[in-house]
Amino acid sequence: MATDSDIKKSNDLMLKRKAKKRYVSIMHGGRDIDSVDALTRRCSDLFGTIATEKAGLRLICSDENVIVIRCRLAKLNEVLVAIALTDFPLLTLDISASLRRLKRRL
Amino acid sequence: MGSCFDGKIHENIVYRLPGVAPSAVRFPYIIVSERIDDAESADLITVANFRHVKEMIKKKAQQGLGLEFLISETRKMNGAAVAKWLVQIYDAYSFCERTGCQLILSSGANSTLEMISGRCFDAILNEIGIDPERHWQEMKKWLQTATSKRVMI
Repeated sequence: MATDSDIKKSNDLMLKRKAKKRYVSIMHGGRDIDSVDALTRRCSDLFGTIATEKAGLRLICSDENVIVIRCRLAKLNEVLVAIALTDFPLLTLDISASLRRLKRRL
Repeated sequence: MGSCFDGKIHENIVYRLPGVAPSAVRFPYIIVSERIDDAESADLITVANFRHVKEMIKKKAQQGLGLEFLISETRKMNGAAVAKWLVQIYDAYSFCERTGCQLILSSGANSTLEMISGRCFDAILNEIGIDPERHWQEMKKWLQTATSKRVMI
């Protein structure tokens, strides 16, 4: 049976844990907001609204026909599937753990 | 990467032809068809709905035949239809494992924006329940065998 100190330790660990994120650069053929909307809708359609919320999809920046989105690493696979299966044409260019490195590679 | 032959030869492209080239050519190619009846002469058959043609393929498929599925077809589907499509692909994969055929997932792209990155392909394969690394190794072997059957200068 777990002692008080074990529970306190696991609580501490949980508090310290920060969800890992990934930045994904995507080439698109329309407005940046429309692309993110289409991606969020598709993700929701395929994996459900809870999984989509957990993915924490956010538009970070956009430049002409390339957008950078951020999502949780744990849901990266689902996001990539949604990108590939979205009717709104989207093409994944690169994935990185840091925005600076992703921008350098673009 | 596979492409229809447009008269120009590009490096690292395997061309898709409807039949055997009349003479020896300078580019690698495979014979592609959408008709199951062509299974004996073609290297690759594009399948729209595996469940509908499974019995026919069972009768006609020979070892080494490629069964191609286009991801572009799923873009217009709703979530439920995509889920069915994913299960169908796993059925086709199991069938290929048993019969020595090769499952091929293609983007079906007509433009750059419709193309699908390797990482997305891996994600789709994972979602289906196929090990991506193993799949690409098998694909490489299959492609080498298929292209080496054709006469090249």
